[in-house]
Amino acid sequence: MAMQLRIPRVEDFSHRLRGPQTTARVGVWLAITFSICFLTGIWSHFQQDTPSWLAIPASPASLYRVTQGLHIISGTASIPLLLVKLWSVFPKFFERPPTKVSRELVLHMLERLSIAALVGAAIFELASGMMNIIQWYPWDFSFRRTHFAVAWIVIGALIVHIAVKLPIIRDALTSPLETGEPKDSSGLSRRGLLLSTGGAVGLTILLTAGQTVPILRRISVFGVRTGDGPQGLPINRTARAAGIGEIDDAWALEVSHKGRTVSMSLADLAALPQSTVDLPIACVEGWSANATWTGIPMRDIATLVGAPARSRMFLTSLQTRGAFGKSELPHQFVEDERTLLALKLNGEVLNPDHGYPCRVIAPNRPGVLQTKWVTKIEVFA
Amino acid sequence: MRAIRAVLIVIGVAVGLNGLWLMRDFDFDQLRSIVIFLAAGLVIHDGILAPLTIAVCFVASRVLPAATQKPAAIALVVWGTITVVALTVLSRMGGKPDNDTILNRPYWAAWLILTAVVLAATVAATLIRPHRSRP
Repeated sequence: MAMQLRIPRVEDFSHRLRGPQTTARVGVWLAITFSICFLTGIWSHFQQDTPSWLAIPASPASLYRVTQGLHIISGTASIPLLLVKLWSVFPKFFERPPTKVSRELVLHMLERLSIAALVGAAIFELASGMMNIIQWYPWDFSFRRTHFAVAWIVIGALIVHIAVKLPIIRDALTSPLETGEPKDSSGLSRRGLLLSTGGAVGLTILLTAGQTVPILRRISVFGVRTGDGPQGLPINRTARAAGIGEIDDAWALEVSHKGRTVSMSLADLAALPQSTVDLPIACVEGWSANATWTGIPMRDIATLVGAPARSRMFLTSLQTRGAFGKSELPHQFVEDERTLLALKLNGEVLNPDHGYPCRVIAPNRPGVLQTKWVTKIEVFA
Repeated sequence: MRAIRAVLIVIGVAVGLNGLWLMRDFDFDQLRSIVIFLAAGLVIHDGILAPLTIAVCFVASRVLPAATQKPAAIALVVWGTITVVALTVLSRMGGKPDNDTILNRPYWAAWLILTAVVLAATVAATLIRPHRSRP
């Protein structure tokens, strides 16, 4: 039996399920999930690295929990959509460029380039995001900055792609899904493929979103976190990983304002009037959980050193390893009576991994800014 | 339509260039690592995953009896999705040894059970179908 091996051509692929009608519909869904992912991603970037012209509100307290949960869910849900989308156009990969140097050749090459940028960047974003949520970093770039920058390339290339394909998209969406091809009763119809893809998207969400949506916790067998942890709350960085040593009686919190410094032991802090609030911890990896926190309202700490309740604070952690050892708490958070220097979590003294002896908990803040193991607070009016 | 498309292309190019601008101060090692990962994604998809999927579809369409084709196609979409989505947690490459609040589920067991469920559902659908299609 002689078998001829050659590079396949577009005509070699079956067209029964493929076609602009399939591609355009999956493409619309993908444009929706990518848009949600992009907008919530920009918001997350602003929440972590706030530009001077923007003031992040302290309410609603669960805002970041919702936006970042949506970011991870829409990104994960994009995986089956992208796979089916790429499958539906894969024959085009073998399209031969015009043989003569001409305007068509230049346009062909430009379109190829924009598609390579779109597909490469889209896979990069989904893969690096999935790797970040399990804290796997086998690369030499900054995840946060690169994931943000490449997102712009995805969306830019996507807008160009939509512009180029606009007439095809319009025709495909206004024409019937099943075209006049012979009906094959045994195989899948285009409608069946789209329904299966929709089902795969739903299943993906059910299997992974439990780290964000508490009622899914038992169903999400591929969730990165069960939601369990010391005192009922997961952790990102342990005390050991942060380089926190033994905390003994010599430990004191330094609070300063306009050259005046007050030093307080843990007993001093515990003797101050305490407040109890329910606030979520919501991390950039998409996981979040509610907890009950007890501690001193930050506004009381500000007034303790003679600063107004509406002050800014710079917080320094004992942590010697890893990023986010320092954070700034803008005045709208200090002023909010729900913002605490927490000493207790769910009724117990803070576990070392949750920031013993004291940590920040504020409404609507990314987890990395809820500084743990606080040792110094500088107050600015 | 022409004008809309032209405006979209200009906006798209500007948005994409902003992405490159945001990387303007990256050093050579960072940029090299980004290019390697971008290329790896394309190669893994276009060079391995896509041809493999097409080969599986090609073989299945010739080997499987007609009655099983539809359930098998649905099963491939669902099982393929489950598997690709679970790749990172199955790899267990992340996390830290001193933190048991991350990657703390039996992912391989879950994947094997789901694979068995998809397989069983496919077989069941194949067996039930002939009774349902013609009354």
